[in-house]
Amino acid sequence: MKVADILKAKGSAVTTVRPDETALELSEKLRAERIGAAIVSADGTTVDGIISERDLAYGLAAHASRLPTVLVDRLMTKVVVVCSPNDSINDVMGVMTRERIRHLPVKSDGDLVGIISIGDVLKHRLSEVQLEADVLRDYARIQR
Amino acid sequence: MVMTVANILKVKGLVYKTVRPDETVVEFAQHLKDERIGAMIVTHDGSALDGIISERDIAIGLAKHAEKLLGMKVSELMTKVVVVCSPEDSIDDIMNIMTQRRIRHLPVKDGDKLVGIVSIGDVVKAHLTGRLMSARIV
Repeated sequence: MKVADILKAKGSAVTTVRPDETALELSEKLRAERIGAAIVSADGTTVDGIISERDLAYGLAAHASRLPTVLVDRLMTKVVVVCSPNDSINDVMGVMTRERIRHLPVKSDGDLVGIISIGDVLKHRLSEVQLEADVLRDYARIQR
Repeated sequence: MVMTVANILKVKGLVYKTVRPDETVVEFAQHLKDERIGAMIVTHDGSALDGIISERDIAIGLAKHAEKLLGMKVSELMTKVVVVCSPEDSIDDIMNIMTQRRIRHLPVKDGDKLVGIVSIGDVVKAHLTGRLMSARIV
């Protein structure tokens, strides 16, 4: 099972936010799209950073009443860990666990082709588990 | 061997971080940052499960309440109807719950007693070690 399989199911749509948008605007976008993170991009294609609910929570601790007007640029993670469509789900699980991150942009030949979350990974792992169980059940039935 | 919530708690310990319902949202955000976690159990007395509150509640709270968020209490933003699991639940069971309900943290109750909390990160980690172990056995 590869990252490409997850993207096939969920599509390659990526929600972006500009570095000069405010934390308030970002929060509205996250809420409307029911997502936990957005790619930060000045031109809609380059990855300048990534920003998540966690950055908003930590931003609240750091900026308190100023948070609504703080710019995305000041809250985002600039060094972004990415993955490739050919990476295995196991590799991605390893990266998410080690780096304690829940979202990985997917890049192919330098182009942004999607984003996968820890929720996507779990969902796919679950369908694999169910498939394995079905196969075992069928096998058991044949043996009888 | 079926991996259970109890296996996860054995590794991470019977611990959970709590916040009081009357603390402010800013105090809660500071706790998250200090502890490097994503959610906390809300309790007025240290043992009753009054609710759960996460990073997501801050993000959604900001979108809903804008600058008014700053003066709000944990009790106003927390999730009051809390989905819980038990130590005997399998990892597959809680993967299902987390996926279907789109939640990332489940308090663990043993009977009436709160004994821990498992996150989506813990589940993925457990899965990974489980697979490594079975790979070695094979």
